[in-house]
Formats: sequence, structure tokens, C-alpha cells
Amino acid sequence: MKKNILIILAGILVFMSSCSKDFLAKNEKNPNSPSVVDPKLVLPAALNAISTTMNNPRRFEFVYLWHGLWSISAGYSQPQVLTQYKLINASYQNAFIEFYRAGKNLDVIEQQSKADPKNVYYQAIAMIMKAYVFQNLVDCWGDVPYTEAFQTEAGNLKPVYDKQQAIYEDLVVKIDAAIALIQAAPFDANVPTGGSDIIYGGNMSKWLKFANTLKLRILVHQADMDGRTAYITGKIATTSAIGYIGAGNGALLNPGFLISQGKMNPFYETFYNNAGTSQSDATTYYFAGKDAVDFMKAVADPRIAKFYQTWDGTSYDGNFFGLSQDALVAQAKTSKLGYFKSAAGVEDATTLIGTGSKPTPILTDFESLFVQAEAAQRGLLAGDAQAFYEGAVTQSFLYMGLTSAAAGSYLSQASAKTNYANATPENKREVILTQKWLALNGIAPVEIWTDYRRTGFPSFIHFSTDNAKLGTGTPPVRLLYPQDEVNVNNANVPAGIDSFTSKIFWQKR
Amino acid sequence: MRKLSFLLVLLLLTAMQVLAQRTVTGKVTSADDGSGIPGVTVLITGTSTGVLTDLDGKFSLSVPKTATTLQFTFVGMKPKELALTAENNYDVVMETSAQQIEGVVVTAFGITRQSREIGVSTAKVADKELTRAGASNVMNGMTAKVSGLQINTINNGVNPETKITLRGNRHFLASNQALVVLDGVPVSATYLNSINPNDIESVSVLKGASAAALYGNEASNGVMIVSTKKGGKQKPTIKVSNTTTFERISYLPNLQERFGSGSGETPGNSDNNYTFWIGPDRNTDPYTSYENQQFGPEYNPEVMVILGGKLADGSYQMVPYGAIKNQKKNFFQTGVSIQNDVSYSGGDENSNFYLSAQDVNSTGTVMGDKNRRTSVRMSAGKKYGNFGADFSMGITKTKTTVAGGDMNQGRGVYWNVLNTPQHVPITTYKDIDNNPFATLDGYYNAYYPNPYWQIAHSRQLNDRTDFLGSMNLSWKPVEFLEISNRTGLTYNTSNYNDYTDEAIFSTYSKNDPWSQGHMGQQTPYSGQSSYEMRNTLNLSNDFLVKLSKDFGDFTTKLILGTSLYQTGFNAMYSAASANVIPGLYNISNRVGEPIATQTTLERSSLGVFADATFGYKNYVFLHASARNDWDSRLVQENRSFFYPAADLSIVLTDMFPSLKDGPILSFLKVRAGISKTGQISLANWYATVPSYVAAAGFPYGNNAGFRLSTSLSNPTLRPELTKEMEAGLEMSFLKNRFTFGATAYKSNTFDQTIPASISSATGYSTAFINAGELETRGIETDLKLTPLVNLGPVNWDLTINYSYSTSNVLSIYPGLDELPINDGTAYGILNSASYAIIGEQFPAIKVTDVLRDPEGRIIVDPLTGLPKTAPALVKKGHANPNHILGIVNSFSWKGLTLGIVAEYRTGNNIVNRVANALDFTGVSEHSALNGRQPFMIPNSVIETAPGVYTPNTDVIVTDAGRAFWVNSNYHTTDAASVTSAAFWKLREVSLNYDVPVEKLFGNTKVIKAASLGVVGRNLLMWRPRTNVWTDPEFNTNSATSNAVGYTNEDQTPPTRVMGFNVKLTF
Repeated sequence: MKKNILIILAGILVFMSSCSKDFLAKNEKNPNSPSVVDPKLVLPAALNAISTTMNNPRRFEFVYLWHGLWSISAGYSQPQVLTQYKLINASYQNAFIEFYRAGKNLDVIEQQSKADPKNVYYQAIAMIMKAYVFQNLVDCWGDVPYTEAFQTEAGNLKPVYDKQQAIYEDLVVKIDAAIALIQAAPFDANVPTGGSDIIYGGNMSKWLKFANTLKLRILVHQADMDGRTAYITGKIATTSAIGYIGAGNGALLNPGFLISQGKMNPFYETFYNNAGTSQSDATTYYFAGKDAVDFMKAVADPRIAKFYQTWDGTSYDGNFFGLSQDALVAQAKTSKLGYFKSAAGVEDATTLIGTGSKPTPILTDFESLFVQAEAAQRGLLAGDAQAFYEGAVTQSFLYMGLTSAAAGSYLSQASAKTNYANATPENKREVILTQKWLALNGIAPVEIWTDYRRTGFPSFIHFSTDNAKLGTGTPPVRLLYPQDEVNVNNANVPAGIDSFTSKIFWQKR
Repeated sequence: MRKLSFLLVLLLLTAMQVLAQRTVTGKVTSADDGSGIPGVTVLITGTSTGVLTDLDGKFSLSVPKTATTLQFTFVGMKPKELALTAENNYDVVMETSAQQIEGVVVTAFGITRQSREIGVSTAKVADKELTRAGASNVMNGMTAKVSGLQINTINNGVNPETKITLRGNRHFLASNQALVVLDGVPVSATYLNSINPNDIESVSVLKGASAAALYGNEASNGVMIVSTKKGGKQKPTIKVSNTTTFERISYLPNLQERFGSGSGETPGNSDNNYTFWIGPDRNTDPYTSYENQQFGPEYNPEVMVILGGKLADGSYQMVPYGAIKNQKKNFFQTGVSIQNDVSYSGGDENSNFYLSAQDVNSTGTVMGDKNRRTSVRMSAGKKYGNFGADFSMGITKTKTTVAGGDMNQGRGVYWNVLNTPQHVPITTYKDIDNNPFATLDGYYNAYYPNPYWQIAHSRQLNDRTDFLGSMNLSWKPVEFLEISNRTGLTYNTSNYNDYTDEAIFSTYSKNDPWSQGHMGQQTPYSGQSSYEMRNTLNLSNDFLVKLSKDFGDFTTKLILGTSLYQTGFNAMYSAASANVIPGLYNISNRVGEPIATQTTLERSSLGVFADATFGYKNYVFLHASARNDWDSRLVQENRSFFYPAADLSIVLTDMFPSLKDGPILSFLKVRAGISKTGQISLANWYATVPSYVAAAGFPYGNNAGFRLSTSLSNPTLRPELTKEMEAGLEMSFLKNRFTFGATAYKSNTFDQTIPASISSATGYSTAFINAGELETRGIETDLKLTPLVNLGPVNWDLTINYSYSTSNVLSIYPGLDELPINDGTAYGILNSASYAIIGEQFPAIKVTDVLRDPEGRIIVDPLTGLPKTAPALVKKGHANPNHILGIVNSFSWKGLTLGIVAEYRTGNNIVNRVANALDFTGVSEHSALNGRQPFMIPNSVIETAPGVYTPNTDVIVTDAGRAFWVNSNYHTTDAASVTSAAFWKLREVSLNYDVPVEKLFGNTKVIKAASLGVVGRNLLMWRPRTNVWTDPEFNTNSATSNAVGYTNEDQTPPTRVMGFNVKLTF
């Protein structure tokens, strides 16, 4: 009897030990998610993530609200973070987090592609877009982790913060390197497909111009710095032969937006769900800003009908952001953000809100032309500033669904606010930057903020009149580091940062 | 249990020589149900002469003339003594002894052990105590009856969810719920809500982590061992019963009935027909006929006012401008629950059989909310010589439907009821199709829909099936050895369907006829539906070798075993954001792409263990166990972990019999135990491997896109470890009439698995790491007075249990003092949240507050007199009740039994977020206390220079209505609505009458027993004066979340349950 029992026990143990290896290996592979993914499937997700961050109006609403373009309707309580400029560390931290997440995915593409010379285009696009991400990070937060970012494989969970100017200078180096990679690519390099490169569909000559325009944007940001001109012109010269994004070649992203929840243009989807269906409070929350409306009314700007809606069929009116509740014009008498749907249910893609399938702007042709206009006006770039400026406004008109003829009459009216030739020499830069501010409404928030901080244009913005507001009477010059960074990377996060006085290095006013 | 003792005693008695001088006969019946008890030992007092009762409970015994009394004893029953008279026939009724100190306890794998052997704290609740007050789920029946056990009903409703913890919290983030083992098969705690309480024989509670030595790492939070009823050696018995209960809202928050509609939000329109002042007072906002907020003029029922606006046909509604009495309470209906049971049990010496069925049909206090639970359970067993086999299985089907959120903001029904001004006759708006003032277009409220609309058009349905089966085979080849194998399987599948209909407004309302932003203006609301199918399959197999042998004064018991556990989970979720054809809730009926996701999870573990008990002279017991687990969720190098436990029990009254000599002390046992337990607390079972997920929005048609997970994989993860120590004593006095037990314990759980936030510049947000330590200490005491009073037919049993527990965070991880348990700073907006904070009790509450000076005075604006928001969250105590007191009374007189259970909890705080909802809408009582007249915030200061605060003596809040209660931050911050969460509750009151069947119907043998009862649950609640909001036991989170301590307007108000039951035994 005892012997039998022992045999049975031994048998069970042998059986269990033989099956236990597979039995316990179940969780070594995730049945829901892959552990390694080809760069061509990661690239579209990374590009789309950047687009979603830049184009989700809630991520950078403060820019539109603080700079006279939008206001918050009288029907809602005004957030004090904004009306009183009381940024806290957690304010708008999501953009920081999302930029680094996208950056990490681009970094993985870059590292994986390095191993295969045929993937050189993926490597170059990843490098260019990383530069785009870091330019925005520096413009909002100044010193940020750069050299030690994304180093989890090396076990670095607390990256040091690099000096903003050093990052900016290295971005130019990296863009030049990416340009060189594309120019020296082997003839059989894998050209990204339209489903992977959801900006230019693998058109690498456009990517060269994109890279060069991004480089110009970065350099022009530094134009007001003392003794910086030689650096800027020197850097522009090395790649000037490539040229810049011209009319019709703007970087617009479309992963294949569908009219379906979660798959629409992110700007549009903040306001509407399925075609024309209200999804969120945003439609009754964001209204027109009085500065923009008044400016456009004064110069009979036809884009007003695209940026905003009439409130009574004919009139446009906005509110100054940050007025006390009592002083606000009633919701019923204020313009909503631009949106149009015909009786037949067809939406107008050229309005500010547009449609759910409209591509998102990454770097538009008119912004490129405005940057070139400013560079030329400053004497940094060869060419006719007026021609760049007029081309920029014309492209903005076309982007907003208007004609070049309309742009022509707009630009040729007597007002020096639009007519470059009629502006005094000292006002020409203001004309360029004021028109750029208007054209970038809802399109490039960080550039609007950066331009204002470095140049002070437009000069007529009304800042918060909330009597409880803090600081100097103008909005903060930077965002504060995310709360989690302060908590977990405290030793590296720069101390003594003040949202009103800790200027980004290129801000000299 | 009865069977076992029957066999033992039979062995003892058959050899006895009996001298007879007269024959006494009789029948022993159970006080529970009047059935005869077989196997009761009947002894002539002072001798060893006796007999056992037969299958019907009858006995016949020859007694010497000199004998004066007979003793009746039976395991699990109170011993009884009977004085002999000249009579030769006696009827004896025996009562179950609910928790007797010298009883037996069902421990791991269904092994029954003498209570005296066990060196750790255990408790047992018998079936009768569980179901006395007609609770439709097991957990409600357990509440307040065991020290150290805390049961929270986390929300009201037709199918309430409960949270069960034993000895407080051990884990920051992982579940602190106790493991439930049903007939030897580990099941999730929520499974308990699906079984029929009448099927339960008893619940044993193993309070400490030491239970994990045998149950594996899931048991580190303690174990509740649930044993279901089995048939036995008895005549076939059929029991039929009905319990019908009625549920009414018992408490609403304190509400003001003084001011009506108005918000002053539309000053530009104040000259129209819908906005005007009533009476001379201009301090409040004007009356606004379509307004949900209640900051308007003072009520005057003699004035008739327009409600809402003109409809398309020109009609409009006029109502008296006065509060309607009980307006909000009357919105809620009486919920009815009808519970029908039938069971059959039988068996003979070698077999047993049990079959039961139950149907519970409930309607909720919110119209349309329903729950129906139907269950069947069967168990049977048979012995063949030294082989035994038994199995049990149960199937439960639960179907629930409750109202969902409204179509514009997803708000719950309660919110929309609170947003109904007190003069609005809300109960007249039930007919949403035919009453023109109840339709979407005609409903008075411009901002929120008629709650009856969402009851009809927004629903959450859940159809769930639970199956549990287990099979046990045993072989006892020789006396000292038993080999057994138990296989258990649980399978549950749930189909969850959630939909909101499209809301279609008329062109008239779309055009905003009242010129104030009619809801219809923001249309259309396209409706949505989602469907989720989940199924879980758990398999467990335990193979055990049990050895026991005595060597003189020494006894040994050894259990060797292996345990396999495997679980698989699958879920399919699909959702559509817009339905096309109204009333058809199918994902195919949609526009746009559906959302579709699939989740497949698997894990398995293997355990090998040994458990040994050494006894000396039946008064010293040393018990030790050791277990090694291998778990698939960890990488191979870290997969194996070992944990030991030991405990010691000494029965001092047997060791030193002189202790017992006195008339007072009858039993004294001291015990101590120590254990270490590993537990794997990974929410993500694949946390050790990197993963890419489909990026948001992808795939767009044919374009796929993947991104890295935002959580960094960590292959170095290890189990959490809990070290627990306890010591206690059990004593009884006056021949076990008074018993007292006390235990002190301390548990330390370290290497907690926590999602460390890491620098987002790494590209990730979190990495799961092992860090942090939580220490929980406590005392549990149980006092039983059985009986406290015994005066002939009058009997009063009293049980009091008291527990004290405190959990303190000792460390988190280097450089971090606080760990949020839920997200406190989503999207840059501060939100109150639960935290683990070093040096504070867990879980700590941190809330938003207004800005205060260093002395805690409110800083107000020098112009407006209003406070500002503080830039950071402030600490406001913790959510764990330190003191819990349970009192269980049982009074009996003849056939009548009155049971009363009360519970008291204190030491913790609650954030009454419902207060925000009430302040927002202006219906909270305190918002009307000063008559909405200008006032100065008490104890406020003004910052006259940076850091200089001067008491505010003259700056007043001029608008004491909406401007203060809604827009001043007082409403948006939570600090003012934190109150003590203390409460006294009258949990159960039951009155049962055992019908004297034989007297009424004679000895017909058809009806063996019958009882009638009235029951009441949660009849009364006492709270501190400051808590005018709701039941502090409620909680906004799920049972597995540790972020407790919040109530809000998504819950329904507390209720009171009353009803009756009828039980018949055939």
C-alpha cells in the first residue's frame, strides 16, 4: 500500500514539473500587444500624436484666449488659472507629457532605422520631427531634458535638464544632419508609404524643404538676440539652396480622418461629434475674441466669416478675455468660432472648426512665407519681404476658402494695417507679425505666443481686466514644469522658475 | 458535522453496558426548524450511560430510578439538561450555539479543526444569523457580526456592491478585499453577491494573513470560508420560504424650501416674461421660469408663476410659487423585493444530497430599476468503503437594469432630481410622451432633461451568469492517511449593454423660443450604445495528503499538498456613438466606425505546501506551515517565492486544571501567531514585457499605427510581502455562559507594487516598482453573553464585538512623500483625491480648499469679500474607520425571537461631494440659512500686504446667492463638505415566530415546522450633526479601489428596508 502511494505521488510530481514550464510561461508574451513593431507602423502614430497635441484647442487654449483671438462665453465661469494668470505646475502639463511621448516613439524609430541603411528616410523624418518637438518644448518651457531624454534602456529615469540655447543650437545641427542623410540616401532606400508618412506621403524633397523651413523658424526666433545675426545668417546659408516650403506645399497631416468618434480631425472633434452633432461644451464655451474681431472689422477682412460666426445673421462681436462676469457681452450677442453647415448638411471645410476629415496643419505654407518675410525684412534672408508677406496673406486667404483676388484687394487697400507698401519702415515688421497672428488663429498656437513674446506684436492686445489678476499685467512668458517632474525629478528640475519673469532665452524685450 | 460526531459517539457508546430500571422515551428537535436531530448524545447525568437519538431524533433509554436528570449534548448545539419527572415521554428542543468557544472551525480545504488547536484569530457565523433579517445577499447578513470584519455597501441600488476587508488595509493600490473560498474553491468577493444566502451553512472568517500559507498569495487579506449546506443522514426534508421586503428612501440631504428658481445668469433678458422679481427683495436673483438653480426670490405660495416657457401651441404652465412638501422624496418609489426559496435535502449513512432554487425579484427606488437573480445549487456525496466522492455546483443568473446618465452631460437621475426647484411638481412629469410639459420640448428646465426621460431612454443593462462547480475525491487507505483531490471551476459571463437614445427636439425648441438657450438649441444629441461581453474561467486543483498519528500524549497532523491555479479572461467591447433607428440598441445600427477592442488575459500559479500541527496532551498545540509559489506573472528569476507561518495555542485551563477549580473561570486559552506572505499585485499581468498599443484613433481605415505603452515595463518586479503578528486569548466564565476573546495584531506590507511616476522626459509616465511600506495595527475583541438573561422562557443573548485598527504609511519611495491613489490633478485642474502620505493614516483624504492664512482663516478679496482657491490640496483626515462596534441581540420568549443588530463606526472622514451639487443648484439647507442676505464670511481676513493678514471687519459678500454659492470657489472646493463619517446604524431588526405545528395541526407529519417573521434593515441611522448629506458608508469607487471616502450625486440616497418572511419545512 505505502509503495503504491509513493509511486502515485512521484508520478504526480514528475507530471507537474514537466508541464510547469509552459504552465508558468504564459505571461512572457502579451497576447494583446506586440513587444516590437516595425518603424513604418510607429511613424504614423508618432506624427499623429504631435498633430493631436498641437491641434487640440484645449492644449493651448491659453494662447488663443490671452492673445485676443478667442474668449470664454458669458455662460461659463472663467477659470482663474487663465483670467488671473495663475499658472500652476499642473497647468497645460499634458502638452509636455505628450511631446515627450511622441519624442520617445520618434527616438525608437531613429534608433531602429539606424541599423538598416535602407531605412534612412525613416531615420531622417524621425530626426526632423524630434527637432520640431523640442523646438516647441523649449519655446514653452525653456530648459528641458534633451541629451538624457528617452534613456530608459540605459536605466536613466531622471534625465538632467539641458540649457535651452544649447538645445536650440543642437536642433539646427540635427536638422542639418537629417538633410544630409536624405541627400545622401542610397538609391534603393525604403520610401515611406502614404500610410506611414501621413504628412508628405514619402515625398522626400518636400521633407527637405520642411526641414529647412523648420530650421529657419528656429533661427528667426533668435533674431532679436544681441550679436546673434552672424550665427543666424551663417546657418541659413549652409542649406539655403534647398529653399523653403512654398505656396501649396504646406505640411498638412492626414492619417485618413474618418467621420467617426475618435477618428476625426482633433480640432473639429473638440467641438463636434458626428457631422454637425454637438459633442462637448466647447461649442458654447469658446467664443470670439474682441481684439481679433475689432481688427478684422476695421480692415474689412473677409476671413472674419471663416474664423467666427455672426450672432444675429450679420454682426460679429467678441469679448475681451478675463472681463468680470458682469462686464461680459451676453452669450447671445457674441460670435461663436467659425463653423458652417448648409441646409443639405454639407460642412464648410474652410471655417476655423472646419470638418472632421480636414487635414491638420503642422507647418503651413503661409507660416513659411511669413517667416521668410520676417527674415527678409530683417535682412537675414535674400528676397523681397513684401512679396513673401503678400504671398503669405494670399495663401492664408486660400486656406480659408477665399480667392487670391479677395486677398489682392485686401492687401491693396489704403490701410497700413494690411498694405505693406503703405506701412512706415518701422511698422513693416508689425504688419507682418500682426497678419501672421491673425492667419495662425487656431492653427499654430505656440508660434503666436512666441512671436508675441519676442516682438510684442500685435501691439493692441487687451490683457485680462480681472482685478484679481497677478503679475505685471501681461500674460506669463512661459509655462511651469509639470507637477510630476517637480515630484520625481526634483534634483534636475531648474529651481526658482517664475512664470512672469523667467523668459525663454530668445525673448529680449 | 452532525454526522461526524454521530459516528464518533456511536463508537464510544455501543460497547457500554446499560442497566435498566425504567424506560424513558422522547424526541429531540431543533429550535431552528423543529426537525428531529439524529445522533444527539443522551446521558444520564453523572454516569457514562447513554444512548444516541435515531434518524427522527427519537430516543429510548433505560434509566435507574435514582436518576434525576438527563444531559443532551450535540456538536454545534447548546448542551441541555432535563429534569426527570414521573413522566416517561419527553420532548426536548435544542438550540444551536452560534459561536461556541469549544467548537470546531472549518479551515483550509474544508478541514475541520478543533477551535482549541488554532493559534490565530478565527470567527464563525452560522446560517441562522446570516439570514435572520432576510438579507438578499450574504454580505449584508455578515455586517456587524464579526470583529475585524468591515463590510461596506458602496452604493445603494437594486444590486448593491459590497467591499469586504479584514483587519483594515494592507495594500496601497492592490485590492484589500478578503479572499472568499466557497466549498474549497477560491472565488472573487463579488461572487458572494450572486449566491443564495439560504444555501449557506456557515461562514468561517480567518482574519489574518496567515491563511495565505494554505490558500496562496491571494489570501494575504484574510479569508472567508463559505460552506454550503449538504444533505445528511436524515429524512428527506423540503423547505419553502418567501421573504418580501419594501425599500423606501430614508434620508435626503437637508434641503432649503425657502427660495425658488433663479440664477441671474441672463441679466440681458431680465425684462421678459420669464424673468422677474417676486416681492420687494432685490438681494436675490430674479425668478427665472426655466432655471434649474434655486437662487431666486423667496417663496410665496399665493403667487402663481409661469414654469418653463410657452409651448408651440401657446400653452404654458402656471404653478403656485411655493415649495411642494416631500417633493424630492416622492420622486423615489417604494422598491419591492420578492424572494422565493425552495430546497430539498436528504441522505443516508453513505450519501448525501442537497438541491435548492431561489428567485429574487427586486425593483428599485428609482422607477424602472430592476434586478432579478435566479439560482440553483446542487450537491451530493457518496462513500464507497474507504473512497469518498462528492461534488457541488451552482448556477446563478442575474439580470439588472438601471437608469443611465442623461443625454447632454451624462448626469445621473439623482443630480437631475436635485436640480429641480422645490416648487416644480416633478412627479407629474412621468408621462414623457403625452404630457406636453414633460416632453423634451416642453419640460420647463432649459439646461437639464426631465429625469423621467433618462429613466425611459438611458439604460444600463447587465445580464450575468455565474457557474461554480467543484469535485472532491478522497481515499483513506489506512487510518492515519487520507489522500484527496479537489478540482474547482468557476465560470462567469456577463453581457453589459449601455445605451442612450437620440434626443429629438422640435424645430420650435431648436429655434430657442424662450431666448435663453433651450436645450433643444444644442441638438441633436445623437445617442450612443455600447456592448461588452466578458467571461472569466478559473480552474483550481488541490492535491492533499493528510497524515495524522498519535504517539502517547503527542498528536501530530501533517498536510502536504500542491495547488494549481489558472485563470483566463476575455472581453470584447464595442461601441457606437450614434444610433440611426431609434429604440434599436445594436452596434450594427449606427453611423460612423464602431469602437471595438479585445482583451485576453491569462495567468497561472503553482504552490507546494506543508502544514503541520503538533499537540501535547490536547492543551498545547504548535502549528507551522510553509509554502512556495511559482507565479507566471513574474519573470523566471523572480517567479518563485516562499512564505512560512507558525502559531501556538495553549489551553491554560487544561494545562493547569486548578485554574478551573473556581466557580468563575471555565476556559482560558492563549495564542500567538506569526506569518509572512507574498502577494502579486500586478494590475497588468504582462507588466514585465514591453508593449506597443494601437495609437489613439488608429487604425484609420487601412492605416495602422502603434505607439509604446506609457508604462515602462519592469522585469525586476517581485511580490509584495506582508509580515503579520498576532497574539490573543480566549476565555469563558460561568460554565461557558460568558465568553471573551481578544486579539492584537500588527501587519507590515512592504515592497508594495506601485506605479512610480517617472520623469515624462523618459517618454513614459509610470514604471511599476516595488517600494513602500504600510503598517496596520489593531485590536479585536468579542464578548458573548449566552445567555445574558435567562428567566424561564425568557432568554436574552448578547454579543458585542469591537475592533480598532489604524493603517500608517511608513514609506513610499525615496524622494516621494505622497502617492495618489486616484488622480488628483487631471488636466491641470486640482481634484480631491485619496493619497498614501508618509506618517499619515491610510487612505488619507486631500481636498481642494479656499485660500487660508497660516492660522487657517479664509482670505477674502478686499473688494468682493469672496475667497480664492488654494493652489494645492489640503489634508483632511483619513477614510478608514478606526473604531467599529457591533452589537447583536437575540431575545426569545416561547416561540418568539427578536433579533437586533446595531453597528457604530467612527474615526474617519468623508468628503460629501454631493454638497457641491446641492450648493451649485442652491437647494442645500445652509445656502439659505442667512436668507440670501449680504453677509461677511466669518473669521475671514484680508491680505493687506504680502504675508500680512488683517481680520476682515467690513468687506461683505453682496450677492449671497449664486455669486457666493456657485462662483466663489466655496462651491467648487471640497474642504467645507468634509465631515466626520461616524454613524450608528440599526442594521437589522427581526421578529420571528415559530408556529407550534404539532399543536396546531397535530402530528400530521406533513408540515414539520413553520415560522413567520417580520424583518427590517437599516431602519435608523444617527450621524454627527455636521453630516447633513448622506450615508457615509457609501463610496464613489468600486469595491476593489482603495480610493474611498467620497460620496456624490451619482448615488441614490440611503434607504430603509422592511418586510416579512414565511418559512415552511416539510
